[in-house]
Amino acid sequence: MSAPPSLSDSESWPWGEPVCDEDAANNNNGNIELRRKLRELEIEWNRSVLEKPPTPHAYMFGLRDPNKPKSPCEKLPAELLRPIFEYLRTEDLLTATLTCSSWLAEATPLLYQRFDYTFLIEVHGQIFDLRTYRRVLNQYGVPVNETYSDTAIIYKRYWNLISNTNKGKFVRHVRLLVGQDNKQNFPDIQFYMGRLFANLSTHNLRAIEIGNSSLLDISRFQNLNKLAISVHSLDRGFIELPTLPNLAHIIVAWDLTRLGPTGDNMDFVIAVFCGLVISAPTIRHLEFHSMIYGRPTEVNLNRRISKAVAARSYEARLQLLEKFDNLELPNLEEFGFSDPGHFLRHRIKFLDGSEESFQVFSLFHRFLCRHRDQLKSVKWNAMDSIFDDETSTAFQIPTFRNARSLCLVFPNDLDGQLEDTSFLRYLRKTMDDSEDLENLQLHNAECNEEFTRWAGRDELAMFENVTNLKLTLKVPHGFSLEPNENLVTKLLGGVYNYRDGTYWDFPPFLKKLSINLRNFSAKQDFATSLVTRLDFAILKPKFVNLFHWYKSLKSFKVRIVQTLAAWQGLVMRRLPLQKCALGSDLKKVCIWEVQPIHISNGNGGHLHLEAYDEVVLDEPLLFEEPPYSFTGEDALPWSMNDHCVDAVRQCGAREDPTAGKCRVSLYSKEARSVSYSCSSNFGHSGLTYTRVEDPTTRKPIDSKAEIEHLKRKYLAFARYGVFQPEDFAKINSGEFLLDAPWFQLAYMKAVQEDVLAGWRKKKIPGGKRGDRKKYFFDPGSTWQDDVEFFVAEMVELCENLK
Amino acid sequence: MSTIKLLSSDNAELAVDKEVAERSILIKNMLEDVGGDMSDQAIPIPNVNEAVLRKVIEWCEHHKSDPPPPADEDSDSRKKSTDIEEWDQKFMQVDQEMLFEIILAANYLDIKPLLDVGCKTVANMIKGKSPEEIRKTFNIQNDFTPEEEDQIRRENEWAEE
Repeated sequence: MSAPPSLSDSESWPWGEPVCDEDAANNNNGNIELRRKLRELEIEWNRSVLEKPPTPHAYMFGLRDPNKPKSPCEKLPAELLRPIFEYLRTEDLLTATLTCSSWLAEATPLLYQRFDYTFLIEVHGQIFDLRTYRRVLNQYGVPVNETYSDTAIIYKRYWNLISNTNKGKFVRHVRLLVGQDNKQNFPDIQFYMGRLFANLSTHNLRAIEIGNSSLLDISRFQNLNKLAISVHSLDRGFIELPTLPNLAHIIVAWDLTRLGPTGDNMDFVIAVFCGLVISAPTIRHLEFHSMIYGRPTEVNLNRRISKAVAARSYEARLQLLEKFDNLELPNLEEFGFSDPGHFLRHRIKFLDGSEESFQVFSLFHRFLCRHRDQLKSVKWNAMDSIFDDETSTAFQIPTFRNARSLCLVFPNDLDGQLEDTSFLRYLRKTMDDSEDLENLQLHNAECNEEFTRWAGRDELAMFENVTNLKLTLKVPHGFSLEPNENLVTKLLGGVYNYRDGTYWDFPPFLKKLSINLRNFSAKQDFATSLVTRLDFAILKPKFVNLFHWYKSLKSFKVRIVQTLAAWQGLVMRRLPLQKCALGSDLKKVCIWEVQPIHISNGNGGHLHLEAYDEVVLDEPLLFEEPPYSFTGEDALPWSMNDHCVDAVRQCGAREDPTAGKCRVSLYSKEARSVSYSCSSNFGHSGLTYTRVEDPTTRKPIDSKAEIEHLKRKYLAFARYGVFQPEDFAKINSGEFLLDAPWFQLAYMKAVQEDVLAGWRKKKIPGGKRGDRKKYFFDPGSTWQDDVEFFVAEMVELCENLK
Repeated sequence: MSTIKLLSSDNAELAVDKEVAERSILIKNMLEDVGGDMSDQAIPIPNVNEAVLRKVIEWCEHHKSDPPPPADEDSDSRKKSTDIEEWDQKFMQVDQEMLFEIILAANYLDIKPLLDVGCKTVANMIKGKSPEEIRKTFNIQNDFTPEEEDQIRRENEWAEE
């Protein structure tokens, strides 16, 4: 067909040239009659061909309608579609995928490349410890499955998710945390992960966090930027790693438990570690971590290392150590050192091969001293072990002249650390040397009176000349519950000076408080029996003093680790955000909320929090309540958005309450940051009914209709402010009452709608005696009154039910 | 100013200034390879017919004074904007067959700026349209079954705003 005539803007052809008289078509002199004729033909064509619905058979078999002309754009080879699609916005690119199969093939890779994929799988081995598993699941009323068969199914469902993300081809970040015992129990994961890793693009992959390197040949990924790995899983191949030119971030997990390597095994692991660091000359961040990626079993560890030790000569390992001992990493800025005391205990032979030995710590100490002036951020974990007299004499712990951030983490169970002379000496020296220090964190600092005194006045002289310092205090895990020694109480209520009975002001440089309320039980302050039994805390209004006093606070993070998560989250959320006199500068509030079951590392099945949101406020005191839903299928944890729901559904969490053993996350850099999480009792926020029991027979009420009926009933109570505790008793014991998801939801919904804010303990006008427990809405009440009143009522109710 | 001759696929010989022709990296390299003397002999352009070649030459003449594009241009910067100069917009007001032929020719002759203009023009034709509208515009056969279409929608849901 000959070249078509040029047309004006308004008359451009939708595609090519329709069938027409060839001579006429070649006549390009602007004949109006011809143009009109052509236009008619075009319209007729549209009507007869284009608007005709395609036949099912054509769809089914992909057959082209023989009457249709071939599209000019089909002349374009696939590689020319790509540059066209590059100009499209994401939504148009999505549309392009739906146009035809050839467009789909070209548009999909572009689509995936626009998102910085993070594919995270966390499978925590110890959750499969049957006892823990049962206990945790029992706690939440999830039926305990005696077999693990469900888990394999979960992996298969993950594979479906992986398939939907183009089989991992465009994944940038892989985090696979699989305990060794998991792999033994569930060989499926090896299979599916093998399939995933085989598809990972050596070009696209930027970050790997993986417990066991045997699953993945890391040397393939030359663009790797971040590597987190258990050093014990590195085999001898790692000593011979090629240079990883883009590797900037290494987290090395050491097994510092009694199962960790010793003797020759430790020598080998140290050599492998040195080889890894040497292979990454541009490294910016190096961090030692305690074993977090699953613990290799003793047997496997020994076998692996023994083989490797046999294969590598002693001299070769010494060469690596020697090289490391002279290694200078010009880009290194961040260093984290966990449990240095462990490396004090282990000795390896001198580099010259003589029989004398030296502490491994000295190797790292020299490394640290070589880089001390370039480090911007340093974190010492369990650093107490290097402040004893012997170590302090043998090693001079370096200060970091140019450090901007310093984090000192103490173990949980030591007393009086801050009174330790050598530590205080070090801290003073740090404050003197580190002129640029902006962020000082003291974790697990003992919070007894001595500490309070230290934090409050006596030792603050060292901070006198410090400006712009942000001090973060984190209280220990199991700190004293005595109110007089309770730092949380003091912090929230102001530091109380026992000597003169006055409250202290905090140091003026204190810009940030991070308070972990784990195990916090304000038993002296509120409803002892209730708090003890339910293990939760509600802060009385007086604790709000903090916010009155520290109006310059820029950030306040509340982290709550408790069982009645939603309840507490609600209370805590209301506490700082709605009625407190927060400082006018407060712009950022980070609230942490509970995913009801999430085993963080298997060390006892404690609950784990996920930050669900970080709200940057244009105006203080604004906060949007979570969009709880009460209707059947839509009642999902509010921390999950629609995308999360899809992801979770894809991996089957809806159907399988044990799905929480794994966690899948996808992050999208361009559009938003979305975290998909599924927790094991995914339906706990309203859909887990297994705890609803008949109070007389103690048998579960398993009729969904009946449960729905009860739920509606109590929602109505909550909604309309009429509250009859005896109604609860008809259904459940008091213990179960507060734990019942529908009750929590009812309560939260009530608060959400500001109904609870009106609950007042009043007699109903005209009511009879004995009507005291009926309440009605009173818009004049304050929220503190409401919360206090509500909890008091709960206490009374529970006591009555005993 | 020296002139060279280009021979189209349909054996039409077109004379063009060397400077203009050298907007094509293909022709430029070819001239460099033969020492720059091609005054007697027409350079065959076997993949481009006369009509298209004339359009390409027209574009090259208009843009002969443009600075050459950076050799290693970052693709990210290229793909951001779909703005097209006014003259180029008018230049690209041709039927689709010609449009795609120009893109093919620009790709063959290695004229990156022209290729970009062509790609942008097509991208602008795609923008904001539904799949069905796109199919209509480009006369593309829908070779998906309804089930396949649903599946694609589901799989790509995550990327929707």
